[in-house]
Amino acid sequence: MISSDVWKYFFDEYKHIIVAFILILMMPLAIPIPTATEMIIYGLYAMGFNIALGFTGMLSFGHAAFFGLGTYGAAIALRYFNSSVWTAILAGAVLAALGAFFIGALCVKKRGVYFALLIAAFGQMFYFLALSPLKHITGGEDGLKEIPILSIEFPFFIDLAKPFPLFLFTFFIVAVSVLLMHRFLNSPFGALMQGIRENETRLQACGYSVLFIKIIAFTVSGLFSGLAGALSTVYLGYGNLGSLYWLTSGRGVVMTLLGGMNSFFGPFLGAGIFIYFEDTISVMTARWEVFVGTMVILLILAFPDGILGTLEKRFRKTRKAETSIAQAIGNR
Amino acid sequence: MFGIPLNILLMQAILGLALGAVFVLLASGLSMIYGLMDVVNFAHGAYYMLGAYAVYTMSLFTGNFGLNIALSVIIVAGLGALTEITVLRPLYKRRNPLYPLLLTFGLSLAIPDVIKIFYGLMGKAVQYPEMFMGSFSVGTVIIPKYRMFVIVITFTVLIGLWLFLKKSNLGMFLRAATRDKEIVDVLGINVAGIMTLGFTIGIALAALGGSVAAPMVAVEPDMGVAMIMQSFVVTVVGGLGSLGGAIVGGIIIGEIVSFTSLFAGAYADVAIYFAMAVILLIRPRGLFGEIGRE
Amino acid sequence: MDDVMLETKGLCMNFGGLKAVDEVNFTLTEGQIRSIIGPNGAGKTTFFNCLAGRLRPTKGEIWFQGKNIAGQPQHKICRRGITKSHQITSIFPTLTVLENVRLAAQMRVTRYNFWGKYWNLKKINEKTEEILLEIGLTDKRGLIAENLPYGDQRYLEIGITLATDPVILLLDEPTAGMTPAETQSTMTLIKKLAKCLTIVIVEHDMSVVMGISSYITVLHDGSILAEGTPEEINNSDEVQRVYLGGH
Repeated sequence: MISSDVWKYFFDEYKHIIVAFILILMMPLAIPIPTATEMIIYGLYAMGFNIALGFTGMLSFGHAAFFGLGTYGAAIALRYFNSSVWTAILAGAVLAALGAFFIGALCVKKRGVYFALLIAAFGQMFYFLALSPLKHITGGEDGLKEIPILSIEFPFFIDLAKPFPLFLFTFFIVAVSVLLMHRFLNSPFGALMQGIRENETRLQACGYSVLFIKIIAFTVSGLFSGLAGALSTVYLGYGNLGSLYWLTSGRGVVMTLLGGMNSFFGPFLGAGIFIYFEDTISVMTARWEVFVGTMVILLILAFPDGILGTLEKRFRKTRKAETSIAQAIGNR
Repeated sequence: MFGIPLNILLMQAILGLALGAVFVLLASGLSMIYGLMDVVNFAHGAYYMLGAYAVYTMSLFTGNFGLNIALSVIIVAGLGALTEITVLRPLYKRRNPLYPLLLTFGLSLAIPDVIKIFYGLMGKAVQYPEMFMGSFSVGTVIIPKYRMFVIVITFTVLIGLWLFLKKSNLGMFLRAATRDKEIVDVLGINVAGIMTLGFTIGIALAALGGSVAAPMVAVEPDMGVAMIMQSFVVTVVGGLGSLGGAIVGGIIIGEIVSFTSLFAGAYADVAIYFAMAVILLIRPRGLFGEIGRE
Repeated sequence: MDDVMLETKGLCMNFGGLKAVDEVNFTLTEGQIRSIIGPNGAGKTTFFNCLAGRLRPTKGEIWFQGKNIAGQPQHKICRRGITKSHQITSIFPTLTVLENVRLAAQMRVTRYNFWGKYWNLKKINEKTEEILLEIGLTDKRGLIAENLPYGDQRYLEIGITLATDPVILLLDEPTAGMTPAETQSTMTLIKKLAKCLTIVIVEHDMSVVMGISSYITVLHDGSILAEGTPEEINNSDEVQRVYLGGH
């Protein structure tokens, strides 16, 4: 893992984030707009997931639970309460955050594979509950449909039925989220999260309540993954049951590790690449998954720390960590 | 009891046992691979599926069911060994232990779709072998012959596996490597070979599970996807890394699924994942696992 | 300087049938450098772990600042002012030396700050610099912790412990594995720290023990065999027989 100070000089500068935003905004020039929208939605999902994994060291195999809570939170608000899109997205994110908080509080004492599988168990429970017993609310296998055509009224009118305004709206939410995440992860609390990842017993011995920090970190992670789920409902126009299926969790893990869990934007990049391959190759061949699966395998073998992670490491070798330390102490 | 005649309940129990037998085969393979290599094999369901498709393919050439199963298991196990050597091994030395897991996930995506290319999207039907068609009765309880066969063969294979692990030298090396790879290495034993062997055995068990399950279930490319999550439940309940646990866990989960589908179908799946969560919260090592085996 | 800082009454730690710590009554005076010595398995580290909150004692009381802290969790005891270093080096491996110390120093200032910038907190940074100077790792502060040579990692271990601003510092075999030169430096450091802290050390290296201790406790089979000044312990036949002779 790249040291926190070295992290800082790479991503602390807001100009790196601005550059990333510009690149994303340019995507519609080369990539079909719906694909681009999907890419950034899953980018947010993966980054939310990585708050738990890459930063705090908490692996979960069930983040679909929170993506799905966000999806259905938004869908229910839109379908049954006729809420505005803003409210729906908020509802989805809050529902997911609450889910992450309670599940996290229950499970956080367990570690490693046990914790990962526990979250997976919850994800599966939610999926099967939504599939059958709660069919009358969630719409079962077909998902929650009959959502009215979406648009934003406030502060100015945006027709979300059109791809490009939808993309811009989604980008806006994702961009704000990225900035918030960046702030959060670079806060003193964020440093503690990394301490947990590095050596949680030592951190506890330094006077911090590790359980409490983990719960908060997991809640924030669920919040952003859930926000992505809510955005996916707005994007698709209905609440998709697949968002709760464990494959969604698995894809989140793949995207994150593909891009590199040791970097801030890595998961975003991994998600983008994964979705792009999925959408583009499926047009070319009916059996795209072979290629995505094979691609994933090849990329894993080629990039030991994920794509961005490996690139960052190579780039870092040409700089000395020392220079940033001086900045860390005195001159900021 | 519950307004349902006893003989029906007993038959349901037998069906649950047969279902459990398949779970046991998958879970013991999964457990062995995890215990030996610390890898959660997400591709396990895919090899189960390959076992089923292998039996289907064999049945096009020979009518001998026993031969079919044997050949299927051998071929798929061979594929498993190949996978381990070519793509899994390079990842062991990586610092991040999640990468082998990631790779198995990639395989779980790729393998079903290779099958879809060659066999198409629609499911295939595998016939029950002649000698096991129909059922026999014990008193008023009707027992399907094939289900009995599945239970017997699973039992036999597991005894064989147990004997192999306990009594043979190779089995001893395997068990030792599960506990401490470094010592095994220092003793001059080929650890890489042991890992390949362990992985192959695990895959062979999954393939056997798929082969015997073929006549009972819908043979389709995605049949492994649901199975893999359920196999995790069994492994967790029984205890990660424990063979005895896989057996007990398989039986328990098989029975739970069998009976909840009888009484409250919609909640059947929720029930098993609820059981999994409860076990993980109260006794994470499962029924037979060891403490600290994370 | 005669104040009692810490006192244990009838402290017991049993593991199954094994009495690792057996009815220990231990009194610590302010400003001491107190060494705890004894053969392997005497219960020294277990005793330490009880004091620091890593283990919950089976029985007995630990009195500190007017409260019985026996059984309290480690992070709460740390906040109260008792911190322990580790026998087996326990640091934050892929973070820099600077960040290792800074994380610990942060504890006294802020724990739930979600908005600030972690490298920008002046008080914490100053304290970090102080500690780095103290342990002699100022020049190496940009290095990744796991790449440090062993001796430096031991210093880092002490530094992290110091950064939590304890009033009682528990050092578990601080010089283990150090070169003679490093051991000397550590002894000098400990003597310097003793001017503002009370220090308890578990040590095997007799030259260190005799060199810096103001008072020594000898443990054997979980109970206190003898206590006294370095000369007294050196001259005690019983201690010689049990420990120093065969050492």
